[in-house]
Amino acid sequence: MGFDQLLGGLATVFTPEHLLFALLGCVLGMLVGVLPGFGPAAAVSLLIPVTFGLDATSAIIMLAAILYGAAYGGTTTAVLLRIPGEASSIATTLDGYQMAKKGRGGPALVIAALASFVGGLIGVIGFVVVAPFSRLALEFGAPELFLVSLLGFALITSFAGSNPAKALLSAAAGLAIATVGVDSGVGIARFTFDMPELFDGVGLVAVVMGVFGLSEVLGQAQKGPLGVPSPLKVARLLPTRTDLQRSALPSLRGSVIGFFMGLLPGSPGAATSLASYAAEKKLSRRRSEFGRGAVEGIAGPEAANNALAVSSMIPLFTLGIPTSATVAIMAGAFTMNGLIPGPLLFRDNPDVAWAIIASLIVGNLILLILNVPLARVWIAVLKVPFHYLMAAILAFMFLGTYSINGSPFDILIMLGAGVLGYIFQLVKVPLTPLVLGLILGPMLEENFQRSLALSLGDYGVFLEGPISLTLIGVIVVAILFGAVRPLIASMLKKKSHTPVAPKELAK
Amino acid sequence: MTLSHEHAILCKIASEAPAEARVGIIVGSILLAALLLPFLGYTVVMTLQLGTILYFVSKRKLWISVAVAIGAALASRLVFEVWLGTALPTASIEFLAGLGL
Repeated sequence: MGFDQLLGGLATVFTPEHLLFALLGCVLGMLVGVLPGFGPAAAVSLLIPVTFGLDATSAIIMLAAILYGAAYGGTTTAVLLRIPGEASSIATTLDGYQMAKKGRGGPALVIAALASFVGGLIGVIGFVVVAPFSRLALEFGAPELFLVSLLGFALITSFAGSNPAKALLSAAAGLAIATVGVDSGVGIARFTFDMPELFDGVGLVAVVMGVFGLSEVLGQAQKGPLGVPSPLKVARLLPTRTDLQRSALPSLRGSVIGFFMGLLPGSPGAATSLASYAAEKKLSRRRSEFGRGAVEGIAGPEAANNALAVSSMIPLFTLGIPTSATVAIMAGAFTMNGLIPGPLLFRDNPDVAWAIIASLIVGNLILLILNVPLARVWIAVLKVPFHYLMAAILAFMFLGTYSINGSPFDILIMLGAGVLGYIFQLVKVPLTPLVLGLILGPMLEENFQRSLALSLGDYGVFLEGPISLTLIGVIVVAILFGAVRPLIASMLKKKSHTPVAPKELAK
Repeated sequence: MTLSHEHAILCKIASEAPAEARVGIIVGSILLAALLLPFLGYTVVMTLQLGTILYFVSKRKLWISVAVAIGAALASRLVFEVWLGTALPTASIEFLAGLGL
């Protein structure tokens, strides 16, 4: 197993330079994460330009730190303001806010941070155990890689959102955008309109910034300025011994739930933390305390949430397929820095791969230390009128997109993607499949063309060998599951009478 | 039409701007800014864009919008050019280029 390599990775991360970037990433991520509506996906996409000019390892370490920072930022506002920064902190608002109301905001934040750390640590241990299996994927030829990308699509459209048809529509839009540019197989220019800016295709970062960043700003501009309620006091910091004892087991259970849910495509963050919340409520002897400030109700979901954040990277590292929006953006960042996410990463750049995995632990440790002392700073940030925050975010996006290639054309791409993302949000079409389509599209097409070139045009090449047949089997199951999922969901809805989250929080 | 009269009308438009108009103004201002960037340079374009958004979307007072826009444009230029070393586009119009914008 890879624990030796993990230690090697830790040694790489523990250089002043890498630690500084991890710290910077954590702070920036938290800064964006506390803003209502801006979750990890938006934070990473907004802040990618900050990492331009860094070497690949530093850049990815910083982006991973931004991702965690944003998740922690969401937790802070969930506890002190009852505003979940992103969907996966909804479960934390239930008991975290109640604890803060009783003057125990400090312990709630510390428990959340500790549980997150446990979740992250268990996630990394699982990662280390699973990582060597990526060697199997090195055996994959072009036909298998084509089927793996196809599987990515089948899974994401089956799991994302509540409506498979809408997910499919979104994925198709992503694929359509991915076709722009010079075709890799035969070199024909497609949809480039003779514009040299489009020969390399549509820039991923610009699209991601538009779809996740600008669309959010537009959505909030449409709703009008948000009123931020006055935050509760942090007061005394340290949790009591009972708090710690009560949160130990929920943290471990939450980590395991989160780890396995993260391996599933779609990585449903909100569903996972709510599942962990429900499990703790069921198992607890103090069931009546839930919803009134039970510390278990913070520890479980927070651990689950963070274990999920780590394990959702596993499919990317082992197979090269991103399964959620945030991971897809990370995949884009890998490619931008000249790294190919997937099994080849462990073979060609093992140092970088293990340094990134090790940085996940270090990032969580930094956040554990920073989380509470900085809580007051973030609350101060939220007191800045939203008008100015919005203007600042827009200016930052404008500049960031420009600095990708030093060309105003990318700003137009970002704008177009932002408007598309805004419209998708209005009609409730999920955005994740679009980004996945954009990333998986080239992989799908390249391997399809290569397979057919190898087989001299014989489509039977996709049906040869046990790996291909297994993959096809899984694809069929995934599609069937996607088709019956709305039925199962509606049946479950009728059965359950006790909603886990209060109505106003459940989206 | 006096300046204050004009201001009153603009304020009225701004205060009555429905949700879609706010979105439209943001989209329009980014579009114009991207198109004008090569001609007017970063500093002017960013000032205009921020000013427009602060005044029409966020409904700040005119002088506050202008002051914040100029301040933010200059500060961001300072950060990107001096700290991050990113070259920001300068104006291609001679008059503005002569001013170092």
